Amino acid sequence: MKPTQKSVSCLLVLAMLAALCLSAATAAAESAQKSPVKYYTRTNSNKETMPDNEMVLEEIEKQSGIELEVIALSNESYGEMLNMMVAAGDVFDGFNLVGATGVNYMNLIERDAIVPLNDLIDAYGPNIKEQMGPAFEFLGTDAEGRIWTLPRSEVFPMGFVPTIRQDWLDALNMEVPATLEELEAFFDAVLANDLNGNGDPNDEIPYLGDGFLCGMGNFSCYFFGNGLTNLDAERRYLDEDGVVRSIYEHPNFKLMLETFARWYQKGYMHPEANILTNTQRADLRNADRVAMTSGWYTTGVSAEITIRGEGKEDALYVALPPLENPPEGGACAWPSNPIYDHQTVVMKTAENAEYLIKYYDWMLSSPENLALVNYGIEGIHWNWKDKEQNIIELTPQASNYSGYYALGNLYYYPQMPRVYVSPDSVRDYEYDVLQQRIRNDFAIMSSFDAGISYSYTGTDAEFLTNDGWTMIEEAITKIVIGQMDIERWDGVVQTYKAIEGDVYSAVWTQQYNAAKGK
Amino acid sequence: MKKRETKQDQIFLICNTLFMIVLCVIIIYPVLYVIGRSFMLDAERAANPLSIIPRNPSLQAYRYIFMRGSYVTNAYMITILKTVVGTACNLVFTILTAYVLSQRKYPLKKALTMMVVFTMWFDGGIVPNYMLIRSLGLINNFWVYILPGLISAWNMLILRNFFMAIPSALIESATIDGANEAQILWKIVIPTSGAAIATIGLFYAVTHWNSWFDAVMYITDRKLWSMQVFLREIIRSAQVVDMVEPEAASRAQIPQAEMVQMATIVITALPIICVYPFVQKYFVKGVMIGSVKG
Repeated sequence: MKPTQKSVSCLLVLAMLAALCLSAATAAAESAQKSPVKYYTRTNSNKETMPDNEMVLEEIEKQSGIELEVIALSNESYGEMLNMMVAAGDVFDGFNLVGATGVNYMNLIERDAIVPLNDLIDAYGPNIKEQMGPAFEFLGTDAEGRIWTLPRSEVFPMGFVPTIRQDWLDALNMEVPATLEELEAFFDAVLANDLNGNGDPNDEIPYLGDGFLCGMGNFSCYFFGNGLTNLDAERRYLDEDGVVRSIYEHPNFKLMLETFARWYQKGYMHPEANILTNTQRADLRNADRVAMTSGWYTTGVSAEITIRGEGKEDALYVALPPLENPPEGGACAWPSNPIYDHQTVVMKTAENAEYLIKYYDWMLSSPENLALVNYGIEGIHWNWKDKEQNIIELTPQASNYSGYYALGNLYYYPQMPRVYVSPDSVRDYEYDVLQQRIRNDFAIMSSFDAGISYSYTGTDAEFLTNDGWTMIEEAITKIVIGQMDIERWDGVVQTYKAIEGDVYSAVWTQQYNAAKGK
Repeated sequence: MKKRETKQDQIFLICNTLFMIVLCVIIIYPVLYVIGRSFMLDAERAANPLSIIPRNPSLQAYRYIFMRGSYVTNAYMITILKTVVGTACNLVFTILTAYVLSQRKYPLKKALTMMVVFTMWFDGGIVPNYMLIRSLGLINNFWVYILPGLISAWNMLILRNFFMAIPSALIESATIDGANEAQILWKIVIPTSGAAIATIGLFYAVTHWNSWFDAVMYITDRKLWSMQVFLREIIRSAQVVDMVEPEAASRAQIPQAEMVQMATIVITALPIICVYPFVQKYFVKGVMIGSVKG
């Protein structure tokens, strides 16, 4: 080989080596975190102001090697703020969908504002795949198999269980009602006796629930076989032909109205059941006047602690088991929020997408990490009570941190440590007892389309004004309080279908089938 | 000579007095209701729904609100600062602009007035405003409370009209005596327009005190939140925790939601209630500003 050729070959080899070194350096520089992971969430129970947040964040960053910046936006306008920031092209890495009213991840996909997570999870999320696998299966993917959100798992979603006064049952020598007929017999007995012993036999209220018309939604499983936690315009059922319809079109909705109308006429419900505020309902419970309450399961516990404080030590609300012998099409179960739901999205403008995924993966990699992000630092905020059983005990300082850096709900069992609840903590102990009973002994059902987010943008339903729902709500209220004959209900439903029901039904069915891969 | 009261006069006086007493009770009852309930525990409130005097008053709610220490104090300071600084800045710039636009001989008077009026008819919208504020570097900046709303078109036009009603002879005589525009403004126009400026100033001050939207939209740093936003959060957290959240270990420390709500209202309204009696007369005068000439 001539000397010139040799020199050229050497130069070429050197150039190749230099290029290789440069790309490796560049790759190394690219994978280093450029800035803290910027994540938005809503203000919630003052988690964002807890005194030990900074201390815990330091520990998290030290252990995970990932810098975080979690920003809490005002809860009241969280959804509006997020929409505005997305529209304005703000640069941040992700946010929590929970509480973001008006923000739907399907809309975000249509606006090209978020990225699918498959590649990120494949590259950086082995623990995400393992721990969140059941959640991904539950929530499903889009038609192309893409995952768009990291899911949340509520620690206790099945809290929509009525609670009933055990001490009043004992005073009446009655068992806990198992059927609707036994429940109504209990209501009659409550009306006929001065159970709170205040000398006024007419102030007891057999049933007072939270939510629309005294918590009608709590009985959705019993009547419809579908776990709806309330009965607003966005509640559906799947008919025998595979068509998704509004719940008002369900054959048993009229039966539910008849039941509640009967309860109202007989005085089982408060005369102003449809206009009471939650605070007024709480006041009535605290005044030792309510035999059965429904809504979130804790409403009874709060009241019984207040009543006991007034000297009635035996006041006790117990969970009512699901009612047996439901009508055809119903189920012996209570409704529940979905156990999994969409939580975190990663923005298209994200500069640290991989680090956000890495952070979630790190959280899920061990019980200690989950305990750190949810409860604080071991030895300061919690200690192991039983490491084999994965149970921790919180210290008094635990109240100085409230899980702000968990970036949402991450109660993925069995990895997630359970918290030991001492009987000395009366309120928390009562909650725990109720939770265990409901979790272990009761049939619970969430909605058939739990986890599916419907989007109306670009559909025939986009500009509907929900006049039909307003008419329906008015008719429900009037029928229950006796101002409208129940026989007019079928006509109301037909009008609703004509105004908007059929349009919504078509959109829901199409999107439901797409989500289920049909 | 004192007019002799007839029997009808006396009956009218009695009926009128009774009516006014009833009206006063109707008006004052909700105020006392709120104050009383801020000291009243759940059990007592539930047992006596209409009661306004707590038998066992409790400071739980006030302790809860002020428990956050520097946050409440901080929020108050932010609110007071933005009200004082903001109102001062508003007045300075509004007076200057109104004075210029009130000058008949100013060549750009019509054009500039139209520009200002145009902003009263059309607004950019929330997203463009947000992008503008962001591009100006005012996100999480105290001056976002002041600069965007530095001049209210409406208030400026009211003041301009008032300035235009000042007799031109006054201005001319000052000019003859050798006063320049600044001296005329400072020594003649502003002293003459005391009532109008005080009223406009009060409008600005109340707006600053009550405003929360700018904090919600442009401020994510809690230390820069005004009192209105912060106290809304307190109410929200009290409600949420009381009704829904069972798991938090600190739950037992949260007092009843309604107590916190009522205490919040007392804390928020108290400063304005204390200030208002002293400036009430300016409000009355202010109603007529710009509408009565001569």
